Amino acid sequence: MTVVDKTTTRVRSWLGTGSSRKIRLSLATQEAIWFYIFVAPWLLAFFLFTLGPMVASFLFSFTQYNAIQPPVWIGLKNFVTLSGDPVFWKSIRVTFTYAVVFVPLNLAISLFLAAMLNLAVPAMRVIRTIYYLPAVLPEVVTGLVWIWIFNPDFGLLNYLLYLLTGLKGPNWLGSETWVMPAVIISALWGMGSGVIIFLAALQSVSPELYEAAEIDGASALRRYFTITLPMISPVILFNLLVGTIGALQVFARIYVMTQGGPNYASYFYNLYLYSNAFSYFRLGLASAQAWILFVVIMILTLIILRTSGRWVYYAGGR
Amino acid sequence: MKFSRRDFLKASVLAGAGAALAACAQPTPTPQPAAPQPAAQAEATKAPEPTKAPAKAAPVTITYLVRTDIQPTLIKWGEQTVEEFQKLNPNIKVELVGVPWGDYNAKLLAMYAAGTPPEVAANYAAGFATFYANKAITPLDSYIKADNIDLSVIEKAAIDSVTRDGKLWALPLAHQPVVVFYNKDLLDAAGVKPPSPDWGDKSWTEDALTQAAQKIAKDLDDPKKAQWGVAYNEYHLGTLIAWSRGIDPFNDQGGPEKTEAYKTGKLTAVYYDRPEMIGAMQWLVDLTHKLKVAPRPSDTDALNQAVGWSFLSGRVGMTNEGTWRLGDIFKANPAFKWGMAPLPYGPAGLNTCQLFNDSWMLTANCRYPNEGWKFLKYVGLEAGAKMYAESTGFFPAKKDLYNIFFDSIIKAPNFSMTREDMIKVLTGGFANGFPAPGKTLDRFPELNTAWNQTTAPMKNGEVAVPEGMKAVQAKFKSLIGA
Repeated sequence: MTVVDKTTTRVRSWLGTGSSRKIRLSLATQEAIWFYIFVAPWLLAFFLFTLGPMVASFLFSFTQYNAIQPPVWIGLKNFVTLSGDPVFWKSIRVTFTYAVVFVPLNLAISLFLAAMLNLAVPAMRVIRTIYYLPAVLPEVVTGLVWIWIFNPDFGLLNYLLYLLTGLKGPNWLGSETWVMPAVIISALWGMGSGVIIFLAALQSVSPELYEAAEIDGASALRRYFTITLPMISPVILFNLLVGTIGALQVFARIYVMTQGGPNYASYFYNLYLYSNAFSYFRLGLASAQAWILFVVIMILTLIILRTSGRWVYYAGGR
Repeated sequence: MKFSRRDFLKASVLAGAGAALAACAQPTPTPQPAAPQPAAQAEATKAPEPTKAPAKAAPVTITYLVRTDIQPTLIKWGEQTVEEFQKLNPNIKVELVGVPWGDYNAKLLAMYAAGTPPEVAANYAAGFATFYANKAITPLDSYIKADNIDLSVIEKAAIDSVTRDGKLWALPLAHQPVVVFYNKDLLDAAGVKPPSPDWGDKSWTEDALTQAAQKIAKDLDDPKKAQWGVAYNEYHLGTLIAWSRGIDPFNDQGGPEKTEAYKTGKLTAVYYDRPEMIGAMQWLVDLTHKLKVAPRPSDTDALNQAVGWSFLSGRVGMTNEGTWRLGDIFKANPAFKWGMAPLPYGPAGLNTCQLFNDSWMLTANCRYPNEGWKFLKYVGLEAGAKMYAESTGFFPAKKDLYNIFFDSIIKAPNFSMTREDMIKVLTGGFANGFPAPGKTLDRFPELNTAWNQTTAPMKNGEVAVPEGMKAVQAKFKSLIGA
């Protein structure tokens, strides 16, 4: 008997499909068992690598823990410490300022670009690829590129500004005033994912709707606001949610470009979290930070979803 | 037996799930008679008693965490050391784990958290004091005693800097002074005589350095031609420029020797807003923004990004850096002639050197401390240390290896000094040197972040120095809870 034969016999005997088992399981039960067997790898990975660490980090958030010595229970002290930590509040201000400016800008520009990329012009596939390219590049690489672009003396941006206006550009990454605009500009460069999703949504809007509106004499602007936007509003909601969550979790590009400086002007929440965990050996405190962020993101997501009923149109009902 | 495709798929899923479970399981360490019993957590850092190896010990695998960002020298040395060690110790396999400097702490902590810390690691990034304060390392005294090791073979200042509570906590491999590197071609072109190699030459002052820099600097408005006189670093928390003024930011009595925190690791007082400290920072900022002889931070970033170290661009006349930069010079093989000089004297008539030790540690709670020690000893005191001196460009802490290191510098292309003068510069710093605060203060990474963040507006010329130093003082006071 081969290994495969042995395995098959064993599996059949476990499931009652073989001749040696007396208890016969119903087809529905057998299917249910197979369902769980098939999803088991995913469930296993979820429990081991997502839920497990989440539960662990929740428990660590109530401890003093440096990863080297066993955690010591300190109750809510980490949360109290954070509430009195000016860097923690600064990092929240920085992150929310970024999110409030970046997310709407990202949505608006992505939608505009998607509309442009939906036009029937030659070489559109190439143009679309070019726009999407930054989205597939690692953030660390794009961060390094942007350091060059933003350099006040050698950088491309200030060179172009000088050519166009004759003015000397700012010290983008070295100025407390200009670092946030610089970070937002660099983030907007990677909007390709949002553009592609909007493009797909635009292409899925039924042409009959536009034809009917045109026959009724609706202008292009009218058609855009009364047909296009409502029809793609579920996708706008999706991009809004994903964009908000992503904006609150910014890390790699900032780590490369500014390290949070100057003077904490770009000290994003996750940068502080990472520093607490892996530079300052305070994994308990970092876990508390992670859970605060988790709760904040969950509340924001719920607010967006709750209010979405007023502006999102589902053609087939919800 | 009939075996349908569906059956095959089902069996495969089961086999796959089983394999996944097996893969997720913790690897079981090979039984090791020489390894101590798991220590109680309260005694995590207590040194295990060295035991004699049994007649035929089962092979074990220990882990060694190495930096990979200093390419190719450090990783090559790591590989060579492991290979030679394994030849001599066939029962000990060394798994080399390479991590770049920026990820070193994260990787190390992750390994601790997983219960599998590397047996041997270096005190990069966080510094020895932080590892000590977090009980991450094992004292080496019992091993040193058992193996009859004479520690006087290592530079005393290096041993002192990794000794706490009367115990030795690491083996220093490198012990590196900060010196002035100069581009002789630029100095010659500007008619500037290279500084004397003698640390006692009191004519080599910060003013003399400034004047020399003014002669060298030119074309600063043209990014394609700009040439800077000096790129001067204030070093750890601004201490280097404080020490030459006879002060230290963490005491109000005198220089670093008066700072208790450098002995205990615990920072309890801070004096960044005192006039001398403001004066020190003003001198540094003026080099860039008033005298315009030093690159702005953005210029330095651009040059560093382009060539790894601004000095290697050939556009910087002088810069003060640790001797670990020699490895970069060897690798880059610059086209210009270069040399080294002592640090300049400050207004207080002092040129206190800052000393950086790179030490290798036996981690706390590691699986095979005895085998780890055997490897650590090989790396820090035996053939590994020799290979380190030969190949890395780092100043060895072991005194009998100095000549190997000196030979490697003399052989470097375009090096413009005599062997005698070079030795004067490199060893002269030890006599009046003091360990870098990054190696002696707990929480250094956090303090360093605070320093870099709060001094950036001054260095960028956006905030006046007196005002900026008040902000630095406030920040540090809040950090230490003073």
